Amino acid sequence: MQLFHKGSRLSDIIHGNYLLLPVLNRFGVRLGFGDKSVTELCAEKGIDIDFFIAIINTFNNHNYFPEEELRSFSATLIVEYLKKSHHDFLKGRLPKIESLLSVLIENSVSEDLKIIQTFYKKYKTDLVTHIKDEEENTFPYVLQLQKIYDSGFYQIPESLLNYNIQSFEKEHTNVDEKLFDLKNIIIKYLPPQYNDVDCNEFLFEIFEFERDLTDHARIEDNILVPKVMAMEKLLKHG
Amino acid sequence: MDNRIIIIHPSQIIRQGIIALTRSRIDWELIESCDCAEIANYRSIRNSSIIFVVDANLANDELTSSIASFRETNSIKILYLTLDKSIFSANEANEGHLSINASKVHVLNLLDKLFGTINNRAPKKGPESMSLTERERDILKLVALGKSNKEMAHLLSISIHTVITHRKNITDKLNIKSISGLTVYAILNRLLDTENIDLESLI
Repeated sequence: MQLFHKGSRLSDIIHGNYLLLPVLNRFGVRLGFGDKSVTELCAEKGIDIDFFIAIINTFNNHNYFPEEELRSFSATLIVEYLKKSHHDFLKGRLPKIESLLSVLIENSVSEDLKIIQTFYKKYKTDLVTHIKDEEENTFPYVLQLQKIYDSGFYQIPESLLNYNIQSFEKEHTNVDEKLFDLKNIIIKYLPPQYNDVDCNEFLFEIFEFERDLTDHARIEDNILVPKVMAMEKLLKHG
Repeated sequence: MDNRIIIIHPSQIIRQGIIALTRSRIDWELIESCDCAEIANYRSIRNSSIIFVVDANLANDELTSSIASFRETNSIKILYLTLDKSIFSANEANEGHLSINASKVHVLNLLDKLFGTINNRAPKKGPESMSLTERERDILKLVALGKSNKEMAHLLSISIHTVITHRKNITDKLNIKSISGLTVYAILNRLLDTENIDLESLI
């Protein structure tokens, strides 16, 4: 599979994989790019070009994951991207899934779909709690740590000494399991009284969201956490 | 198992040439890399059959160890590209050689054969019944009603260990892990007496 590079044109990137559009949006990039290349765009928008390329390639090709390169970026940059994704999940993806599910229920005679809706709501509550916890606790801690690290004065305030990234960042597994279960129950066990078009659309959205979340979790678990652990080690133990 | 080919060769002409020759095999995924440092970026590949097509001049310890890191989670074979006109062979060993002068037919035959041997060797799961046993249905009902393992063991007069084994089998058969998910399954399949229960509160 092809890798995008600095000379790639944005129009070619989206022709190649339209699922990258929301990822571009997270960098503040919107349609109507003409023949602009990645280099031109990043210069214009003040985007860190290496980070941009690494993120789109990671998302585009699931087998591509340049861990070392990604860990070389500042935690501030990574957190900023993760926060944009959170915003996108809460304001874009989830409302879309909900409205598709409502349409699906409206057009169906089966009461069973309401059970699935309840399950979805339960999943959403878990996810929102998880995101809120990261935004209110994990990310501020990471940003503070990076600030101290950047200042060169390796002095950790007393208040942070007892924290570590692993205590904040609990596993994503439980939340992810529910989304997989939701998808699997619909695929394998949905009773037949439903509208095809509505249900397909709902399911497509869930698949795309799941993919987005997997990529997100991969950056958190394999890039951010190890990076912060390395900083912790240096700052706390010299 | 997904079939993947990872080409490690400094020449872009050769990398692109292999990609062009294998275009008809639409289920193969081709990954190209100009040296062995770059393939570390693909270490997240799992459960795949991988043929590494490698420039024979690059064969050294670094290459061997880079490729070895894929062996744990994948089935792999290595095919060395050589300038030797006479060679296009693969044996039962993990390695083979291919002349860069080989014809398209030879290249495809060899790759097909290699994927064939890799995939035959992979253990295949036999068909097994996916429907739940009576006992498993009892357990599932209780899980849906929010009972703990201890309570279930008591109610059914079995050991906690047996409850856990049943639960594992249920999850394996249905491919549903979360308790909420199992509850939804139980409701959709009418395993619960729905008259007296507020179903939504269970999920």
